Amino acid sequence: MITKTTTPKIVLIQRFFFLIIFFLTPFLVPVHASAQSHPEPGLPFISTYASKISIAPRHVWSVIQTGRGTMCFVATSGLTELDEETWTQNYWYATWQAFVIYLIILVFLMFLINMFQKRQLLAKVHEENREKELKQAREIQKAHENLKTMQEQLIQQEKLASLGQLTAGIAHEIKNPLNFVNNFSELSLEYIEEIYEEMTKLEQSEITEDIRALLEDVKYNLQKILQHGSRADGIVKSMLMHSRGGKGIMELTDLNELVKEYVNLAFHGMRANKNPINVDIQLQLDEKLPKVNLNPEDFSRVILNLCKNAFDAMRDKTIDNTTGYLPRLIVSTREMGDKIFLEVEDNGPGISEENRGKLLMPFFTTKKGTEGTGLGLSITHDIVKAHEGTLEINSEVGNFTRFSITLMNTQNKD
Amino acid sequence: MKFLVVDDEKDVELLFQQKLRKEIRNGSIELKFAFSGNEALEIMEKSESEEVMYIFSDINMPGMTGLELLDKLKAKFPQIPVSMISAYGDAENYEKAIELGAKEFFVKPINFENLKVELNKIIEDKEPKKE
Repeated sequence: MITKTTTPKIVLIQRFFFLIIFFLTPFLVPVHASAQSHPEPGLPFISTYASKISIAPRHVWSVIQTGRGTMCFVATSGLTELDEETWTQNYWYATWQAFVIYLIILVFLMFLINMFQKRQLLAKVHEENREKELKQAREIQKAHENLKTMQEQLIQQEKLASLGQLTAGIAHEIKNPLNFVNNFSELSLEYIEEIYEEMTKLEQSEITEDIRALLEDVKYNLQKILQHGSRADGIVKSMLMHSRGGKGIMELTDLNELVKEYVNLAFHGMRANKNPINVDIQLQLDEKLPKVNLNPEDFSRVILNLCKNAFDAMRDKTIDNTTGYLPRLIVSTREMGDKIFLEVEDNGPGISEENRGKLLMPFFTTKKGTEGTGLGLSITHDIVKAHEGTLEINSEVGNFTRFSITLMNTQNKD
Repeated sequence: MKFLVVDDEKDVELLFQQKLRKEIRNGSIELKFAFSGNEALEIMEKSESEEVMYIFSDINMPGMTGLELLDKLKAKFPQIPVSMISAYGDAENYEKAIELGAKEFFVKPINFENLKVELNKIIEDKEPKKE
């Protein structure tokens, strides 16, 4: 666009200079040169005509010359024949040599201007090109960054996938030794009970008392072995669930019913376990919610996991906080366009920004000691992803944590 | 009544013998052990084969896997029920085992309560015939 408009500019300027030459050269011809008798025909007429209209005849001549479009030095060259010596002395600037020099200077000037303009144009084009290149470079950089993050995500996924396979393998291999640990400890506990029975047949003495006390310790230790073996078994089972997946069938499900059932189950499970807490549970269910295409078996685990996490978090807050804190869990469902929302919100201690990023990573847990396997949310995330949904975490430290699951509204699609 | 347990882990023998000590003591069952598929086949092909009434086999074993063993046992001794015991409790293994004719499928860690229920069922089924 710009190069199209600038090229004629040069041409215009060149034309302008040519015009100037045409107009200027006649004026350089001396007045009396034209007034004198001249071999060129028409000149005497010009001089008489010029005197009649009382202007210098050179002007008239110049008008004619310009009209003819011929270079005036042709005329002057004719003049030099008359009185060459004096003429060249007085009017050296109007000799043909002088005009040649003028021409050369003019051509040179034009050349310079042309050069200058070319250079400017080039500079402009360069600038534009550079800007374009910069823009492209920025775009390329952006694309590169996008690619990099995608690559990182892919690597992460790949790592998780291979980790999944690895854990499945490890889980099975661990199951075998665990089988022995659990069964032998259970067996030994049975033996100790039998020893107790046999000991009642013995005469009671201090020694039997000592033995009984020692056996009590052994029994306690065996119970611990069994307890932790069972715990390990639980972890292995979760790991297998993690890597297995794809079990169960997707079917149109009443999400509200599923939520009611499993929130209730989670609550009673928590009440039946250690350190139960009182929780105000509020179900805000969209009664017009259409049936959702999901795997009820897997999805029930999502609800259970999210509720369990909320209860655990709020329990921590009840321990830390004594000023009339009432744990509250809000579970809501909502239909919005082609999306279905499920939200689980607690008013627990919240999650720090630092931890929020790691929350979905396998084996990441904030739960103390032996309470958490660090797999719950990771599995939850996997299940939501398998449903082509998204899991979003909003939290404010000290105030609330909200898990929002977005699912596709399949009913709306049909 | 004789049972054959096939597992590549030797501790399984100890575990079964202790877990089922009461049943062994009162003579209602007798346990035999094989530590590989080949060994199990050898035992079965000897004269003892008539006495073995029930086989428990692990799946994941070096050499012959439990599923291969199951296939061979079913071809040679179709009358003897075989149950699988495996750490791999996934659908694929389960379906394959049942397809090949396994009677039951137990998942490790072995729940001996369930195992005893199965044993008693077998004993009750067989004993009237013996008498």
